[in-house]
Amino acid sequence: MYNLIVLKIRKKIIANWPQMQLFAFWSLLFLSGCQQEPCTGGTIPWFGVQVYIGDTLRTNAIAAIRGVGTMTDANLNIGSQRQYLLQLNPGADSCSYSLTLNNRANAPTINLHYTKKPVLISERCGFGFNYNSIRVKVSGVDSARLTKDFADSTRGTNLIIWIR
Amino acid sequence: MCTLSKARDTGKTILLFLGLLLLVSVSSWGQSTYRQRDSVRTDGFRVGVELLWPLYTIGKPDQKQWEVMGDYGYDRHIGVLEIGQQYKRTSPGTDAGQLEVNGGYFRLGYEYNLLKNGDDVIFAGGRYGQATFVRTVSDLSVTSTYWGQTGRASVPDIVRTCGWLEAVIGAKVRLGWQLYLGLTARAGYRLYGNDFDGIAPNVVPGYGDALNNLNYNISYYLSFKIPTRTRAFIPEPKKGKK
Repeated sequence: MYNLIVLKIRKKIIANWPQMQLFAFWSLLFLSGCQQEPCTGGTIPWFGVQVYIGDTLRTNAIAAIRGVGTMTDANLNIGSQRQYLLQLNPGADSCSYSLTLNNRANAPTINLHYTKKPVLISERCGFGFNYNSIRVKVSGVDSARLTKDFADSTRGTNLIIWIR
Repeated sequence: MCTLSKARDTGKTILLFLGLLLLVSVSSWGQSTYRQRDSVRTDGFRVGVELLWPLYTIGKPDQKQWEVMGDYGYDRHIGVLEIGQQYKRTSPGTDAGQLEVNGGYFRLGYEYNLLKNGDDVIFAGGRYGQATFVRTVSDLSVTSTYWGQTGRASVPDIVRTCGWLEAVIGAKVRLGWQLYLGLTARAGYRLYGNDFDGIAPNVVPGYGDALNNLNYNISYYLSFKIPTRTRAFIPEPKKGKK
């Protein structure tokens, strides 16, 4: 029985050997044609900030975020944990953001100090930095707590600030 | 998964196609003597080269790979050794920075011939593979369009050893004059060696995509057999006949 099966397979393969090779060729073409996903920045490290107004987590608390020393506002990116995502400056070991709040007079400032570790984000996105040993100084808020002192591809929430 | 990706050059693809067409025609011609070969099997050593990678990397200074193979067949049991070397350089993303990998590898394994007689081989088997390579990163810089600044970093070279297990199936068809054309399809599962200190190499030589713990690949071999012993098979009489 076993020999019969093997014999049948053998006959099939021998009879179809040219077709098998063509199949392998088309497989190669298929493989060579596959494109990598575009870089959407999905795994680029960001610094996540949750903002509580009173006891409520808000994603509409901030009207604008601007890096100190820059001329334009940063995009208001919101992460999956309802945190504002801030891009750290890869060209320095520290950076600062000033926040403009909706319906509030105070203008909090977040100062960040960090070390950088090179990483390959992906072949498409290229290299990036993970930020480690992050130290934070926050002014203009009622209280603040650093919950994670590194920013890597896992993202998440690094800082929680409370404003009354 | 795109382990054989980036063959976008039309010229190279046409070359690959022509090469495969040649193989198809030669192997089809080889089948004409198939029936005569069916009653004997020669044990012996086989040595050969992998065909696909040299074709694929012609004219590509940022990619080189070669591989040689040797096996010894005793009846339906075949021991196999494959040795190769691979170099690959890429420039990931849009910022500056180059990633290079250079290293050697071997695969040691066993194949069982599913055919009872004859010189052709249809096999299933396994391999243990191991690669040792150097990963080099140069000119790395990261630019933030928002901050308008660029950060630079130097990354030390690392030497890593990766090991993996492979399941293989394939065929080796005699073309004539002890010359064989072989096709091996392999699925490799990484056992160890996936710590790259934040920057994964663009490839693990002989294994494939460094980010995957499971990789698939195809190899073509052209090999020559050095016979050491010939076995003759006498066909069994059919049942019911005296």
